[in-house]
Amino acid sequence: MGLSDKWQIVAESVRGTAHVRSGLPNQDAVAFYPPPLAASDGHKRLWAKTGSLALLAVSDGHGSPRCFRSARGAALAVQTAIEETRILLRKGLKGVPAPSRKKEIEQRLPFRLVRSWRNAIEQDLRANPFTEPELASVNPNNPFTAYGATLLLAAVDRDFAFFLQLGDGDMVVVSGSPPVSYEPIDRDASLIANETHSLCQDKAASLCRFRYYCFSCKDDRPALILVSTDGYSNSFSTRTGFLQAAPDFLRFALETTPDELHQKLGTWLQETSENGSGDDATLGLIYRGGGNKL
Amino acid sequence: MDRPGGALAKRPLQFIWIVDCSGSMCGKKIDSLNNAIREAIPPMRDTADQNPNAEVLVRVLTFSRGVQWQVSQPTEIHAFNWTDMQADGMTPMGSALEKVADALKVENMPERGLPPVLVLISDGQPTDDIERGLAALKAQPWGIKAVRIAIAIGDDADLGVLQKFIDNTEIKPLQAQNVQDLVTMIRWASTVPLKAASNPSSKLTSSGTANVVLPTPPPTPTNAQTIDPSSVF
Repeated sequence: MGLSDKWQIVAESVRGTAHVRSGLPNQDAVAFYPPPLAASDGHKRLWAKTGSLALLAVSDGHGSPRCFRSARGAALAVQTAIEETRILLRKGLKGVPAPSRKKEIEQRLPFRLVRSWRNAIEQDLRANPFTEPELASVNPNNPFTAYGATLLLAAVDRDFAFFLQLGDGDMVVVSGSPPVSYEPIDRDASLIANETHSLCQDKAASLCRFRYYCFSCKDDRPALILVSTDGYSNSFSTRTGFLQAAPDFLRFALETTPDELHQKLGTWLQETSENGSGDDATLGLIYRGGGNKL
Repeated sequence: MDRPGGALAKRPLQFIWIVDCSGSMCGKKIDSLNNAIREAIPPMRDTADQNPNAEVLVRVLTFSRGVQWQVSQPTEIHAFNWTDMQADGMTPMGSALEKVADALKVENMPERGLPPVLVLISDGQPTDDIERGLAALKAQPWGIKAVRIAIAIGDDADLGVLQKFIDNTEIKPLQAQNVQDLVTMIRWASTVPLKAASNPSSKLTSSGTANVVLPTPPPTPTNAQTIDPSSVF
């Protein structure tokens, strides 16, 4: 396939048509590391490239009446996830031999992510206490519910990749030659009818699902990783139709620039939500470019 | 380059009428029910049209002399028409709920479906093992997550059983004492829960019950001074 050694990251998030109709904001969020390149044309760019660690986090704020600050909760979820993961990998695992890395990450990261998110929520609440009307909807047993959100995280470096998922949403990997698509984390069959696990739940860390891969050679590295909220996958009539999106994205990514891909991504997400679930749709890609023009 | 991925589609939302057609429903009750549901179809279609991202699919199950699907295949609301039911026989409500539970098995439901809406209408006491039917419904994940509404017709309906079917203390059985009440209740039950269930917002796990938030039902019963005495059940 002639893939580059560098990771490129492109992401976009669109407000669902159902949210437009009901006047709700986009309650999804996305963030990645390294951060987006500065835009010279004044437009916001949501893409970056790196030769080493790449991180991508996506979150879906629940949006129900009890979760009235979930857009903020999702934004804080992706920010804290990127920061905590970066710190753990760059500092916390210093000196940990490669064979022990998986166990260390699996044991430490979920607790750090949940703790960090809750700290951020508490800080947000100190700066913006619940208003009088909001207090009527606050869950008295768990004020974090107001900020309830999911979290999906993909991390990839030269010799490993891992995936962490709390709640609904999807991750797909394309790798090998010829390229094969697979879901690194098995789907949770208990999550039906819009139900989801959440960062706001008690014992949220124990609800995280995790998968780690070690690469013995360069060719083992994924060609593309797709991370998306359920508003995207729920828009396809079949699961097969959704899974087909990942290799389609890879083909297009290899033929174009990140800027062009980013522009197209926004259009495609809008079209997908409009003609599908109507929910907010957020999608991020980490992929090895084909030595294309940047 | 075409849009990545396969064909797009709205999310399916199954709506199931579960109707008591036992002998006690004979006469005014079944006639009113037939008319009320027929009149509720245009508002149901309007409600469905207001959310173009949900595909409302209707089925009808009756219980009297046995349990029968009158509309067995989930039918798109714009293609759905009501066929008048006849009243006769017993009230095998338990068997009816077992049949609904079968339809809601994971393998029979669309994975990406919205919470189904179940509307149970009855005027009497179950004549079979209702606990078995309720247990079968609660054994199915889609049964637990379904929005369950019950309409009691007249004074003889078993409100306790209907409340067990609803399984949510915040929602009470709707009580129709006359024709006007029944029209109001059926119209509410066929549109408001539909709108609530088609909302794409997420719900937290662990509640163990349906967690679609429903607005307050219409007041009941209708003011006695405004009703036609001949319409009372």
